[in-house]
Amino acid sequence: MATATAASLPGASVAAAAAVSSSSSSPALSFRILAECSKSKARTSLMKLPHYAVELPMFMPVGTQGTLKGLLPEQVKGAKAQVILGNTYHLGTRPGKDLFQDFGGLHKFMQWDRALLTDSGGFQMVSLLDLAEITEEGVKFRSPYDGSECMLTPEESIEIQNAIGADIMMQLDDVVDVREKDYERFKTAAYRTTRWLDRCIKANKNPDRQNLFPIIQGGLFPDLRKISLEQQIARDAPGYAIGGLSGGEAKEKFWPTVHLCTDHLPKNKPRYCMGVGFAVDLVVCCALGVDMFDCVFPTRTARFGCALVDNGQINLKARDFANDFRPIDEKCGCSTCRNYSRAYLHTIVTKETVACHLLSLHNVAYQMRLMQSIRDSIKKDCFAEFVEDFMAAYYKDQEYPQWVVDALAAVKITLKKNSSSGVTNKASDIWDDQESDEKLWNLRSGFDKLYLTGYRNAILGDFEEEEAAGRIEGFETAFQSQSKVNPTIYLSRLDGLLMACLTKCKSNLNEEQKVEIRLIQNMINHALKLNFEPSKSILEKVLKSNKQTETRNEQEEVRLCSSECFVDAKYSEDSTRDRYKSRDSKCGCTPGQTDNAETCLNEILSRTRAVCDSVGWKIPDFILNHEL
Amino acid sequence: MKFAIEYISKGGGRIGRLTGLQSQPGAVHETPMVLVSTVGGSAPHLTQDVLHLVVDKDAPLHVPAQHFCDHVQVLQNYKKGVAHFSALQGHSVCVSVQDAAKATPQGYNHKKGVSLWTYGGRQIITADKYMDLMEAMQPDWYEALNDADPGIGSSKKRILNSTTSSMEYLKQCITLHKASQKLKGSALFAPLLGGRSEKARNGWSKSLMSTTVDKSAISGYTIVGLHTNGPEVEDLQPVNVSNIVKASLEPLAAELPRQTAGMWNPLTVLQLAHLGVDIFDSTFPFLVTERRGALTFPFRLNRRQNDGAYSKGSCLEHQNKKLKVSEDSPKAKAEEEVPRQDNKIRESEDEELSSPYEINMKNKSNVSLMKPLLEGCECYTCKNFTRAYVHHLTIANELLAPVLLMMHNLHHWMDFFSSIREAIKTDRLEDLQTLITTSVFESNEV
Repeated sequence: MATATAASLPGASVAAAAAVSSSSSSPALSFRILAECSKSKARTSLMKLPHYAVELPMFMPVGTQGTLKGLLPEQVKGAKAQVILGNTYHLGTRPGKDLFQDFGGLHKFMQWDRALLTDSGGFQMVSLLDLAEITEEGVKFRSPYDGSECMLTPEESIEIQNAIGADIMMQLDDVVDVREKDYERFKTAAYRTTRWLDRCIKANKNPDRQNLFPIIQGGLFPDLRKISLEQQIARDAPGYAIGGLSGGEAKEKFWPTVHLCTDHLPKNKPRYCMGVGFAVDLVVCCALGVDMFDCVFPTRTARFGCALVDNGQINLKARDFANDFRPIDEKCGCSTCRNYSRAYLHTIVTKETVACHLLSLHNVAYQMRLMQSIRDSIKKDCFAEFVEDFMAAYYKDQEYPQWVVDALAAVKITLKKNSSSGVTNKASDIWDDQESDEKLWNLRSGFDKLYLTGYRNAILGDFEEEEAAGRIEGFETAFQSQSKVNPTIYLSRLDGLLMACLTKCKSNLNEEQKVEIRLIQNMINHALKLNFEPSKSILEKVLKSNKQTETRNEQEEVRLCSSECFVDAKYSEDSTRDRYKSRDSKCGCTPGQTDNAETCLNEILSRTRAVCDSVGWKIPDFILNHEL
Repeated sequence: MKFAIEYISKGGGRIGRLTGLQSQPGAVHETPMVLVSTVGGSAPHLTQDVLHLVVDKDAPLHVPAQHFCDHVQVLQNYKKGVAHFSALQGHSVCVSVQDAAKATPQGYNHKKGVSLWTYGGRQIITADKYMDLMEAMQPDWYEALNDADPGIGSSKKRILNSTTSSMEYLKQCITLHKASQKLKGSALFAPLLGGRSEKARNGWSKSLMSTTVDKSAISGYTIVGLHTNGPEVEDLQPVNVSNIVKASLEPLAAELPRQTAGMWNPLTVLQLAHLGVDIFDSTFPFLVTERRGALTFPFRLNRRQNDGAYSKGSCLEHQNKKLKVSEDSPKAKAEEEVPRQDNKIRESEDEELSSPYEINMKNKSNVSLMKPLLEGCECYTCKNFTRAYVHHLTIANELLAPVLLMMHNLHHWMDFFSSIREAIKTDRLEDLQTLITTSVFESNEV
């Protein structure tokens, strides 16, 4: 069956106008393709669910515990959301399935009359892996609420999901952290997921009104994905999900996996790629033929004061917005943009819950609008042009990440390019790591993720004192686990520490301390620029935004200049020296005294120590133990 | 601003009409009325569209100056005033010096100016700076800068200092107000000061009526200095404030509106209304929301006996409630001599902070209740959601919990005030006091 579907694919790219060919129907779901892109695998379709007729492709905001981050159901509808995702693991623990049985399901409980989807609770396994033990029977875990031992079996998961009553349920799957290397583990998981699917199908008491979606597993191994696809497709289901991705894998591995799955999944059924929510990923995955997405990103980033816009996101905490009386996005029709200015939001972000609600609403509306544009462009058969325009707007310099170029090329979409820009594999920017927050909070993710995300959070996070301390600790642990300290990472760590210090102790710092911290950061910046090229893009981005918020007075200017000269003196790199030459006279520093990187590092180190001491921060072990 | 007294009740209290506000020339607000208290320009937890599910689109707002004194320049650039800036255009605005929802740290005011506590820290503000801020905020009416610092038990000397400097600020504000083109349409309210001393309060009010003050510039009065803001205010009982407020009001011209801010509990509100206070705020429902309570105290005089929530049976729900225990607070000590009608239920027990006017939504008893927060309540929350759901949100620490509770509590508070007006019109304010006292406290005396 799998091969038959794949073989039929070339036929799919016939004129989109005539495309009303594919449809399917099951008791609780009917699916009809409305139009297809004539170039790529993108399609737009109508999926009728018991509670709502949903237009695909679509994005589903995550309402973990039966509510979407402070928004009333009618606000969520106003943002044009069609389906909300609920978490079985959380809802099953609290308020519990008995209550849902009494209330007649989550729809009534939360007053949401459009469609709902529940995950299986399997994903939480990965994030709570310390607590969990996976056996053929199910997942044994310790309840984080009361410490008791619980067992989540496929039958139990479906029983809870039946009680919740969502339009779409997900099978319990054996989720393996995608960055795990062990092939055998993935193989077991792929087969076990199908065995669990059979148990889930058997356990489903409401096949007439609740759809059960199988999940394709197999990690990043094409052969395992194919096995999983074949087995899962053989169990005729109303729709299918691609699981086990979006866990921090390299994008170069991510897109071919999606590509492979959509090649094999039945064309006449909806396809759901779990955990995807960044605009670029959504556009690429739509081109690859995916119909449904979910992610916590839009609402989570709202909590950090970030609003989604066409070229990524803006952080409304930035001072640039203090006098910006425009809405977040003039093109956006959401109630936040219709009523509120950036300047007003700037005064309350991360301070008042209202700001969080307003940004969540805008961000959800943004995702919905993006999906609407995708649907419209497919209907008009100008999806390829839409993708080109979208990417050109998102990557202003048209430096497209290689994976985006490759993925789109695979479905015959070529991006606009400047003749000059030799596209290199641009490091995924700092925001792209936000999705691993879930894991970060358990401080169990890989070092790279932890470093980047932690660094970002140290800057942007507005945490309780205790949580901030916890994060910094985790940050350190990961750092120490690096046997050989890389100077880039080391400097970035120092910078993160200073940044955290600036944020956390803001009110306690005197001017001199603030200036000193900025000076050290400046040195770090220069040292990095001149000596250690890697991850420059990340640091630059952060340091740039940091600089913008900095108001330099005359005295500071001189001091900054002297520190620049200091760095200049140590690293005789022409371009940098040229840039600051004009200032040399001002502080009377003679450039050219060459020194080595070690001295510079030591200087940074000792000054950071001094600052930590003066502020009363405990000096992290990684600084104390550092031997150059 | 125009204010006219429509009716003075034999049973205490008065009905007034507030009209001619610069931002809403056509609007008529009947007093005693309640202002929608704001935090950072928004009603706590409520975005504009959600707020409008609870209150009218012209409901007056209460905006503390301290939330915006960091943003003077922005407001100056914006030019359209604070209500518009906060996306609440259409609402009129009253600006006060301090935020009644937050305890004001004491001892930070001195000759140089008054300390305001912003998100960023403390700012010392002079009359000049304050009036710049007023010009930028463009309120419909505002309170003159004052040092209402002296808390309970302050010395005579401290009270004297406060009144001396406040008189200075008042005079400066009046001069600047009259000179300002931008504040032409705004009304200035004079503060009523004097700490907790009847004599000092009376003296201050008399001085306001004397020739040293330009009375033509004063459109109303704000009673300040009865407390230093924050949650402790709810513990002030009618008997604690009655005489000192009387002392403040007695020398004043009756025809001007009188306002007071603070988290007054319902019975104290009734007492203040009884004494002729016209304008209140909604910090009490905010306080209740912050501890995840839902207001349920009854206030309808004309309900039929067996009418839903207001029947005896469901009022008994209060019987396990304990008033917030405040035995160890300095204020309680200072007022030891004041007899408390509710002493019995103040006995210390390890209960969550709560009051007899509300139900605690953290309480497990709500876990599977399919009924609304308050039977018969017409608010958005009660019409759409169950106690079980609100309890779930509360326990899960979800942001929607305070949203739904704030909607309900604000609605309840607004309705309470329309009931107060109704009671004054029919000379039954005391019946309302009795209704609340008996239903809230009686069951505890069994």
